[in-house]
Amino acid sequence: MTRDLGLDGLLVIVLALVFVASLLAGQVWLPIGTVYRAAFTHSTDLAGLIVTQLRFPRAVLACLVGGALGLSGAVLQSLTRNPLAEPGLLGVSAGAALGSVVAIYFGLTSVFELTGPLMGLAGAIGASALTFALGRNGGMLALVLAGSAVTGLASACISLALNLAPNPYAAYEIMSWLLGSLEDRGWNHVQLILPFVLVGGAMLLVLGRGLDALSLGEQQAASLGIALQRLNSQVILGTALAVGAATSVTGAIGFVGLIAPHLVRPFVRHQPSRLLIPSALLGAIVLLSADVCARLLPIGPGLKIGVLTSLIGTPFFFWLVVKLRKAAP
Amino acid sequence: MAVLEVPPANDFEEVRSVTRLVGRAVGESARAERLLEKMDEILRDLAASRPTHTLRVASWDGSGAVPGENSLFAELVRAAGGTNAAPTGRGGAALFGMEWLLLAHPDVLAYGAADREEPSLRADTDQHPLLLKLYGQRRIAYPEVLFSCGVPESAEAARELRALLTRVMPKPTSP
Repeated sequence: MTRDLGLDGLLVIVLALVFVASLLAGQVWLPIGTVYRAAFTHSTDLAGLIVTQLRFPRAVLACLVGGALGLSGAVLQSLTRNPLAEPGLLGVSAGAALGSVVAIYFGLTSVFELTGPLMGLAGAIGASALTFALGRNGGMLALVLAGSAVTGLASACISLALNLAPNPYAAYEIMSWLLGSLEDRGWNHVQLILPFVLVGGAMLLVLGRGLDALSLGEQQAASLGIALQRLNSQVILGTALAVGAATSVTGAIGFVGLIAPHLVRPFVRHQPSRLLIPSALLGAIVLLSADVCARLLPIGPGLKIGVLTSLIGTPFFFWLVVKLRKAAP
Repeated sequence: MAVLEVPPANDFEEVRSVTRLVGRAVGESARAERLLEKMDEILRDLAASRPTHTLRVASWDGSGAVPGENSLFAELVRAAGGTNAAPTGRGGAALFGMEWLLLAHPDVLAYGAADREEPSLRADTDQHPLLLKLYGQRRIAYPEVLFSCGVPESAEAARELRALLTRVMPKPTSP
């Protein structure tokens, strides 16, 4: 337990440092004194407004989204006992993306500003419900297959929307949104997803005991009194709420949910219950760091964070596959 | 069939050469000159009534490319009596986020209005609370189609832009 507190404490310190860096870095570097004044004295000069209205909500959003992705990745890898599992596995991310794309496609976002995120959330919950309905009573393999099927369906519908987009701007926006970004998000987006991420995260965080038992196998877990059906539904609902809400405001951001648990696992002796909090913290660190990098890389302001996490994450994926091949009998 | 390749016209000098090029190609040189005379007359009027305060105008649609310093938009803004607040050295187009936009200190935000408004996130991107707070009263919508291809009628677009800018121009304070 002490070791866990040490790891968590270290991750919190790193997260705090990256958080401060994300307030300083941007189109221009702001002096730390300016950021301090903006944060604590509510200064209304331009630098103050940039810090409090643009960079601060962006950093908070990165923490929420990265945390949700890291935590749900850890839970899903433990639940499926599959090291390649991540939030997209259950169709949640694709469902959220589809919901938001529908809002863009039909112009619902012009009716009410937050229609996109709300539709994304509805898509995530709908996709999870469909995954659960298809895969229940069939064991873990059926659930994963159902998730793949739902992901395929949502992806096909997104492609259809791109194919039939009413104008080039809408097609560009759908495509651009799908790349994932934290740019120009505000406190309204934080307020929108905060309750869902907190409730979803809390639902996932209490599953440690069940996931520990499940690491021994489904039958052993059942013999230890773990209700597997209930565990599955709690994972699906928690992931849908946390990741669905996150995806609905940032677009699809891949690999964070895959990477974070893997990096943490050796430090918690591969025990699922000890993996959850550090994975959430590391997910937040990874996404926040990627966001700072996206702002600082001399590629230009158009670099989307989802593209960057994919570029970073793909070599990790390759390494993981090679490692698994070597470990295979 | 003869094919004439016409380069894009991003300023009034290029409009002149392109219009003459097309006029010659279709045997309507005199008509091309008449169009250019009318264009130059409008430009002279605009130059003669140039506002004392030069407004910095940024075209902002919240996503994608925005017209840079060598664009027709910048030329029309100049003709209308303002300056384009897009990043320097970015040529015809630039990409920028809201943070850059604020740091460019534009006086006016200009939104390109399409002929047919169809579902698009662009209609929603200008609703950021910070933009509403800072630029709620200093936003204009310009007819995007007239700012895309340089033609003699672009001078008319510059005149309309002048009228739009006049509406949001700060009123002189009484001594």
